[in-house]
Amino acid sequence: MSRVELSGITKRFGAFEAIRGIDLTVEDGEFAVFVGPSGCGKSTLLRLICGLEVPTEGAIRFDDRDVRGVPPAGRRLAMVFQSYALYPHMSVAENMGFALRMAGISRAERAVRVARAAETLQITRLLERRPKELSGGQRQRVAIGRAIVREPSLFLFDEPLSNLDAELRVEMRAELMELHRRLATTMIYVTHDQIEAMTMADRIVVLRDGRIEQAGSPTMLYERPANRFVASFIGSPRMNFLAARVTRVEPGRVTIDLPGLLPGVAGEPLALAVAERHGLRIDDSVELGVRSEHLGLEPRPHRLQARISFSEYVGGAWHLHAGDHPAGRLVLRHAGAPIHAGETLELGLDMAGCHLFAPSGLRVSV
Amino acid sequence: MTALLTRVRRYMDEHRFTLLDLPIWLVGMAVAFAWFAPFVWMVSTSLKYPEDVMTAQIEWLPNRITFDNYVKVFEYPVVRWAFNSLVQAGVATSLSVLFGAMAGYGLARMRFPGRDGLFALFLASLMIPTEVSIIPMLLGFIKMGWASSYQALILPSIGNVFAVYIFRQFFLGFPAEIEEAARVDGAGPFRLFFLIALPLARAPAIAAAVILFTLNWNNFLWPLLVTFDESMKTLPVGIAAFTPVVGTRTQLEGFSVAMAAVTILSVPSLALFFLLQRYFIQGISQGSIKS
Repeated sequence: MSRVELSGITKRFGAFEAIRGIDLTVEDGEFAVFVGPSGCGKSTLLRLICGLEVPTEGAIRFDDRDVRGVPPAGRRLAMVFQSYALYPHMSVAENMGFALRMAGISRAERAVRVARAAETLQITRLLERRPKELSGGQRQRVAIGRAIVREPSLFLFDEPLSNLDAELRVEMRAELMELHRRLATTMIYVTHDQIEAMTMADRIVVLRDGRIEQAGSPTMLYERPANRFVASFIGSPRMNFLAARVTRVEPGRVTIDLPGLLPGVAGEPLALAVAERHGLRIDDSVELGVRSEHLGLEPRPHRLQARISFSEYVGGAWHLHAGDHPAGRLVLRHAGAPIHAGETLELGLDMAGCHLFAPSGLRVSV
Repeated sequence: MTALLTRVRRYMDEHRFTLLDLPIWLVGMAVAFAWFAPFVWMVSTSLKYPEDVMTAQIEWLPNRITFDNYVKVFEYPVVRWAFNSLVQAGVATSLSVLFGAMAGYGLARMRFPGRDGLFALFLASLMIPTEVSIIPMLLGFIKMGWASSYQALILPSIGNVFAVYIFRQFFLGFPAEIEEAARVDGAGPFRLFFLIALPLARAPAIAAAVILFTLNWNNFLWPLLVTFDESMKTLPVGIAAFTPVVGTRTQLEGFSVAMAAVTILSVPSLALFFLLQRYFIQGISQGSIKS
């Protein structure tokens, strides 16, 4: 069991600051996912936890034990690499037993533990094969087997599914979640795929430019994103951002003017409840964030007119794209009869699901 | 004629051979011939009678064949010399491949101050001619009482910059994740090198071994200087003693016997090359692509 605590972690490579003062605690038994675009520092952070990199500043503690200067092998952790990193000249069994061999565990004991892990992952029949004789999915299983055979307190996964095809990825995702449920060991998982993050995580940590943008449960990040970046990164299709202007500021409420908004049924202005310290002033440029499910053909008080520029069939539903709306590009999910390019629609806004983002990018709506 | 042209055209298409490739092909063939002709001449002469060695008309292939020259070679202590050569070339090659791999790995994968400068120094040492260092080295070995010994034959050849270079190039492209996986698994630098990196460096090891074995096997000057008694001579040094009296029939006989001896001498290197040809080319090309 392991609780991982990062405090003030900074990592510089020469003049480049890859990680900028990160404070984070991953609780014992938690499945934490680090997600973010390429170059955001998520893999560097994982390597720091692993001990493959040394932080420039800050401390890393495992169960209150400072692990500064402790090599990876002394941290009771196992890591699964993106490229699987199997030893090509060793059989599957030798690969899985290598860490045990390094730890001086007897051949007999190794064989027992390797067999047990192989059985868990259903790779017993592959034990005598070499990595080059395995498919991508089998290699991935072996890499996971190599990790579990050590019975570590902490599992680290560095984009382990990114080399697999879509179908296998879904299958392996389920298996990893099942593994986590069974072992109840702390797992930290790095991915750039927000769907992986949403489906697997107890807690998602969104990173950008070496900083944490937001950390929280998948539902929290989806429904209450801290800022525009998190809102745009989490969710598929991506959240729509519509340019608007503040026209009225009242305590706890801001009214905005949205270009292309059709006159309301009751002539109601577009107003949103906001946090106390929103800092908005009249005429400020803001953005209204609307997820595709909050934009539909149902009649609603606030409506937008949009011409569909193209539609994508995604199985059971369509993604309709309206590229030339005056407030910005729109994408919505539509499950009804096909709607083709060139059609003009009236789209109702579900204001309960809308977010308001200040010019700084912070979400100010509540 | 048309059928032949069609076949040529088809062959060229299949091999993506264009007319622009023709000059390259011709130069390549010329180089191949320049390499192969002396070899044919050597084997041919070794099979000739002494009186057929020097003829007005060049005889590329002997009109009549004799194996007497090969029999005569064995009148000398060639077995002993071959044994010495084998020990010298075998041990020196093994050690220089091992040390080359270690140094190449260190220079490619380990971070330490002055690493690139050290590599430049290694390369710069290639510019020092052997002749400059050979006499001081000889005096050193004599002073230590190691003249005419295996250690004298072997030690100067156990470090080879070429081996360092070829391994460094290989390890520069070695996947970092495999190394990191081994570190996470608990392998220290030595186990990482001996259990993971070295077994995966088969291609450069074979390339370096073939080249170094040939160099060591053919090494002449140093063994000539450092061996003072007949029993410690290596094959190339021993064969050089076949030099006959100029202008006599024995000179002609000497030629053919010497060629027979040289043919025998070249067999191990050639066999090694042909056996390991695939890995050799792989190893060399890996090095060259990375560089």
